[in-house]
Amino acid sequence: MAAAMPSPATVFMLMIGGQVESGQFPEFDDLYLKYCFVFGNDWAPTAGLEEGISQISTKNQGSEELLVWNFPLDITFKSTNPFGWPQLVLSVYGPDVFGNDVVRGYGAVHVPITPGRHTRTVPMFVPESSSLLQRLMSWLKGRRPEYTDLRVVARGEGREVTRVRSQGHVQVCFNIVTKDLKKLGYETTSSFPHMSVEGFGSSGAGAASLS
Amino acid sequence: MHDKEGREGEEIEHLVDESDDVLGPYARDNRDMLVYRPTKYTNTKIQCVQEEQILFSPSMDPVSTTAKIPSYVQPRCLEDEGLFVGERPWVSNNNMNIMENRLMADPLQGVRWFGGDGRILSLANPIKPNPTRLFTFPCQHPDPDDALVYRKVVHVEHDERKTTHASRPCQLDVDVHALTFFHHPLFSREHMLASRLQQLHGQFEARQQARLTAFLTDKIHALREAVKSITGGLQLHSPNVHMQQQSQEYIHEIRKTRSLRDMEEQKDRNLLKSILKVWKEMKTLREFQKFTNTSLKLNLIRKEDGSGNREEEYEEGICEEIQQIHDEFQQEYQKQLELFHQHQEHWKSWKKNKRMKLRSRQRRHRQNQMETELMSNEEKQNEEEEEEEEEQEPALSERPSEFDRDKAERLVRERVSQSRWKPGQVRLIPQLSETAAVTLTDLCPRVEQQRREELQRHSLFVRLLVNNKEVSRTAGHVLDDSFHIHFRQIFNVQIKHWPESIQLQVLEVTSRSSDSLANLFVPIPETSVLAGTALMQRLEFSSEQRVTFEHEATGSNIPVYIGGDMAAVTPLTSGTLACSVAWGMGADGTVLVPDLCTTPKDLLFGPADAITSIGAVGVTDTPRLARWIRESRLDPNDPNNATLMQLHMVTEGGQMTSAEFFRLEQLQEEFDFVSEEELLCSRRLRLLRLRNQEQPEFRACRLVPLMDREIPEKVFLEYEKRQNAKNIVDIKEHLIPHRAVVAQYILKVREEVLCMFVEVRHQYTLSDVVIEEQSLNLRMLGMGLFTMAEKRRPLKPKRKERLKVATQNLSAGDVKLLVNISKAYNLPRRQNTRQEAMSHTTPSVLNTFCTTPPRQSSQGEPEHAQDLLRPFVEVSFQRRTCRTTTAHGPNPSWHEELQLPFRALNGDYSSTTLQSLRDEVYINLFDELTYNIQEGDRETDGETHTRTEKVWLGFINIPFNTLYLQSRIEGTFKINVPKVLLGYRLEQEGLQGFWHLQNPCQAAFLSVYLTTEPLIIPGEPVREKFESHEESRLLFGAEAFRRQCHAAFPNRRLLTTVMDITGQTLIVTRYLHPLKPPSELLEINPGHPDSTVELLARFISLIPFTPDSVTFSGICDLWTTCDQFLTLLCGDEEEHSVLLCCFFLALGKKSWLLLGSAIPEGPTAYVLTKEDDMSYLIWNASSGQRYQQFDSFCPLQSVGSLVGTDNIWFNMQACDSPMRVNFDVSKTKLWKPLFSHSFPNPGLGSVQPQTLSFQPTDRSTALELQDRIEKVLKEKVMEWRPLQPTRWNRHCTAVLRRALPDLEFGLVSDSKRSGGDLQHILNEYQMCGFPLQMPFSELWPIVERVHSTGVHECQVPNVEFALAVYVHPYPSNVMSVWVYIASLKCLR
Repeated sequence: MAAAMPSPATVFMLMIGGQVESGQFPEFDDLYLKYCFVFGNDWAPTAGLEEGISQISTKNQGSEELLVWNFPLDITFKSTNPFGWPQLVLSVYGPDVFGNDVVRGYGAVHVPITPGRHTRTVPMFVPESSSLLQRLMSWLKGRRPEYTDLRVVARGEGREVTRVRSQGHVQVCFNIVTKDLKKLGYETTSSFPHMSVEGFGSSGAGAASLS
Repeated sequence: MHDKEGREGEEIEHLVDESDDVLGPYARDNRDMLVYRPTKYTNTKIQCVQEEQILFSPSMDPVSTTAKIPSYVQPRCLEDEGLFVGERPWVSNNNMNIMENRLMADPLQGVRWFGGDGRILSLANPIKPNPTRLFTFPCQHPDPDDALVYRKVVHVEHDERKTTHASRPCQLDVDVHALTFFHHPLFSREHMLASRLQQLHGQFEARQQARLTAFLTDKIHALREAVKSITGGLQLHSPNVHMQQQSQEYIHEIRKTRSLRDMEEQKDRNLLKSILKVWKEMKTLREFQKFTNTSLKLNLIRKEDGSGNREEEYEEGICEEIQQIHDEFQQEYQKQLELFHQHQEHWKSWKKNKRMKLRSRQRRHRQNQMETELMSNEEKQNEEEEEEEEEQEPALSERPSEFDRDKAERLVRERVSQSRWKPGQVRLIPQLSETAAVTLTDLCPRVEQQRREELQRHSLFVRLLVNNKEVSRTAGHVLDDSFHIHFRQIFNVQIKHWPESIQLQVLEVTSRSSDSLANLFVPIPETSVLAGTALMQRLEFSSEQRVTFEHEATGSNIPVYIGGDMAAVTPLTSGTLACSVAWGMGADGTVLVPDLCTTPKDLLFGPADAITSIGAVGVTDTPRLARWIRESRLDPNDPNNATLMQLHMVTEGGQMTSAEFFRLEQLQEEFDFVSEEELLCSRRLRLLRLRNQEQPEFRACRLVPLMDREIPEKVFLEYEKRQNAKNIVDIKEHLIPHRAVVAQYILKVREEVLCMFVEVRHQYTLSDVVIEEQSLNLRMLGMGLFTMAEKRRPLKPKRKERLKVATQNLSAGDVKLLVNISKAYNLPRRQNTRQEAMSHTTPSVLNTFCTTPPRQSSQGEPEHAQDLLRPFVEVSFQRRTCRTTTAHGPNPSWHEELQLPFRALNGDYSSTTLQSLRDEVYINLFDELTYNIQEGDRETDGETHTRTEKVWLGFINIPFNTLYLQSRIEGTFKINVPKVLLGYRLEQEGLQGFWHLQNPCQAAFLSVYLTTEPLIIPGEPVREKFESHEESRLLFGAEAFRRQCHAAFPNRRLLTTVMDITGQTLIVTRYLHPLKPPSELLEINPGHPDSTVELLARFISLIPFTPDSVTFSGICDLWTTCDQFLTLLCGDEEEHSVLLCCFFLALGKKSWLLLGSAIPEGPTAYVLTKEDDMSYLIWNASSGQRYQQFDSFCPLQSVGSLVGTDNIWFNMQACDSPMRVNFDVSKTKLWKPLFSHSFPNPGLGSVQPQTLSFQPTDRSTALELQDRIEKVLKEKVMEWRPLQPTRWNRHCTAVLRRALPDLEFGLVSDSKRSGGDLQHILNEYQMCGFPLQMPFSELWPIVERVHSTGVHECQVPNVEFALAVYVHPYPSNVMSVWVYIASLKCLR
């Protein structure tokens, strides 16, 4: 009987496509990127990769100093609560003068809430050494301060104890599709009729009438 | 011009006509024709003239004012009339003139552009001096081409007021100036009059100064002028409704002002009259009493009225008033007249009607009579009523009388003469002087002399109180005849916070008593009131105290007759105190005002508030304010009033109705997500909220459903149960009521600690968030660099790093427990044969392990290697077991790795859950016995059926918690072998020589290695960020000491400060204090100090052991004091050791608390004692074991530090193994002390109680408990054997029960008692069993322990069981539980 009846939606879905396009890190080269999604307790990934690590990208020698990764993102979440909406946490690594792999930037951005295509520029930062001596040591040893947990970047808690330095930008492009969000009472698109996805609605209706 | 064009057109026409015939039809289209013409020239002069006709160039000369305003209007300047005229925008004079000339060029409309003052009408300059909009940066993303200029950061000095507001002293200057009495009990009658006179004169002076009448007269003049100008305008222009209204209003106001003026003038006159009257009274009094008390004298100065036109004015005023009365009367008269006419009309028409009706009624009457007589009474009545009504005739009003001018004039003159000075009348101005001679005391009558003497005895002073605390007092001043005291003292009050109250107390001191005359509260000054500019305030006071005197003095609060015809008055002591309170100024000109954040109301942010901007403070009555605004006719154009006008408009609009309440959180309701009830009702929101609070039940909750209906109600059941359980002590679940209370208490502490941790967990330090290589000093920096240059040694073996997993990433089934069993030493051996057993002289259960299972050939002959032990190890964890293969001999080696799955509670692998797991890993050692079963004659078939049995030899239990916190446990452990093991004996033959000497106690050992796969990272211990009552100097010293020691030997354990149960940080030495052990225990072996000490250790080891992380669910070390420990009856190594150490100290032993690490518990606390023979003993307080310093099997692995009653020593020796450590703490090179000469011990008190009280435990409780445990265990055994019947051998049970107390006593005292009659049983049965001993805490550990022995697993048919329990009570509810479990197989 349950199978016959269309069961009412109990979760909404959020599909995220897109890619981490490029980055601008003046003075640094040969960088690679790691991404992961941080989300609340009421969220669960249903398909796709939560984490990923990109290839190393080298700068073009030309005028525009852009590091291009074009690293795809593809993940679907299901959730029951918009609280804890997924955030994309990016961390960029690359070699220092001695060839040690050090972190070049952390950054986080919320996944856009509206369906459609969005481009985001994520400013990146790194934690600073706590003293000059530490800085010298970390430079010599090639072990710069890093966050113990990437989630710190996506979280406000405990940030007040750190000092950071800004370091470059990363361009991310998202393609968002949501399902059942409106059905469950969450409005993310504009409520003006001409702004809503009427085009989709009408085409859907047309399709229905055809079939 | 038109003419010219016309001519041209004609010319073209003409041309076309001419060429008509030549061009034929083409010529008709003249558009194709091109005509050449010479350029027109006009003469310049002519052109100038022409242009002059059209163009106009305004001159730059100023236009005369008379031209700009109509000739009949006087130029008026609005600004001079007091109206607000804004500042005009600046325009240069030339341009202005040009514009004016331009406008004046239009004779008709031009004048309209000018105002009454002859200047162009213009709005006020709209440009504000300061920008009100924030400056926005032109672009968010600056152009990269823009050059950036680097500027070094400049440190700006912090505003001192903001940073050090608490420490900066502020100053309040209280100026106590003078005190004047209006009445004092010592006033004579004359004084009373004098005081009256002074007051009246003061009033008169004040009125003269205020010049209210003059002001009002001027106002009347101004208004009169205004009315005149309006009426003048009215005559010229067409009547304007607005203007008429205005003039009416003005007239109304004139009238009001006039009456006001008259009233004021009358008051002046009355005042003067009363002054004269009082003066006259005084004079008569002086004459009457024949002496003068006061130096007061009144002089009257005549003043001629100088102004000549006063008379005219006076008359004019009267005329005008009459005129106005006339006008009003006329208006009223017109109205009355109109009304009168209306009435007249009405009356006339009524009269006519009546006449008509009378006629018709007469007619109808006749008709009625002719018709029937059947008219109802009702109708008749109606008719009558009608008639009556008609008969009422409208009252004919009187015709209003005409205006009687003479009468009006008479009235007006009468009134005016009463209130106003007549013109030309002589004015009298009273002047008070103090020139009268006071009669000398000798000349006065006796009563007066007494009064004056009394006066000398009175002195007054003023006491200053701030916040009800006395700050200072003035010097005492003796009263004199003037009753006026000048204090002239300024108090500088240094304060730090905004004062709550400033109080001045006036105190009167006589020789006999002193009493307070008045308490005056001085208002706290505004922050803008500064010393030097503050105005003197006069604070009035009075007191109702009744004072009477025998002599001339009038006293107070009693009726006094002043004399003459005056009625009695009852004067009260009263007066004024002149004082001022202001804020002091610092030397540098700063205002010494406390910080504003501490002020009760933020007064300085005045401009934001309309009311404070006009200087009115604390006005809350908005309607009254609005009325005031309406009545005071504020200039609405003045920007200073803008806020007020706005307020007024809002009030007028009715929007600002002041509520009867105020809101603490404004607009909170509007921003609430849902109402509180809804929040409580909704299951989803409740669940989310509880999860956010990190309640243990919901912490692991994921994907909370969106709809309430999807959440089952039972989700909350457990939580609610826990919440309810908080308040209810459930005795049923616990065996002793005391336990129940304790469990309840622990639960409460646990809850609190949990709350604390949830809070602390969200506070981060840098090391929590950022990984950073620590290099503490330059030495380490150098070392770090050195290690970089070090050679690589690839062949040097290193421990392989295993994958570490953070606990939050785990899920069920991922984690395994790895147990590596390597080898065992010195296991108990089997007794070879029955004969050998019999050869023992005294077969007893107690002192030897002699009883053998006698085997009969018929039942099953053991194999020939029977006498050799076949041990194997079984590891059980969470009721799952896993075993090794069987090895041979008493010193076997297995080298096997066992894997056991690990399940966390509720699948919650968070560190908090893991660390509070109470599961234990049991490593049990068994002996495998193999029997051949003879069934029929199978042996001939070459077929052998064997039955294997396992016999429990001993166990090691390791709490999982210990494993989790250390992530691996490795070492050789002593196996807990039961004291009585039937059929086995522990021998020492194998351990001869050195072992024998060093290891006198019989023991078996097992080497194991335990870990988890993957490696679970234990949660970080909670840093102690809690408060402390210790001196900060001590804490800093302790912290520095700890850091130094840690830098030298990071792995050695050291504790300087610990947390007590309330979360306060304390120095450890406070825990050590001699405490007297229970006297019951001391009395058992009075002559043997050694056995007494052992008994104490055993007593303490019987207190159940529970790690803090389990008790308080969080990795933290809470130290309970000994009395708390004995009440809670659970604790970890530290509590046990502290108590033992305290007992030892009380016995006079030299003992210390030894902090170090041991296996398996890891970081732990032991007790070190120095014996009489200079040897050291190491005590494990939680197990009651003691070890020699040179015992190789001592579980203590490393000695970190020692804690004595007065100091802490850190081990600075190269080795930390107890065997190689020198325990002489007096050598500071080997032991670094915390308190030294440079940092002496301040004599810390102890947190321990002075004495411990031990309640003797009730024997009956123990018996009851014994029965309950036995019952439960029997039930459990039967439950574990679901397939076979479980038979209990009563006889054996009884025997065992008798034997158990002996075991306890055999342990506790050295007296050897003969065993029971076990031998009888052994003759009949093959018995396999042993006594277990454990401290009593709860039931489940006992059950687990019994289960782990595996006695119940005996599968032999006809097996019988025996189970006996004995509970031995020790003081303070400490219990020793003995369980004897055995399986019996019938030999026949």
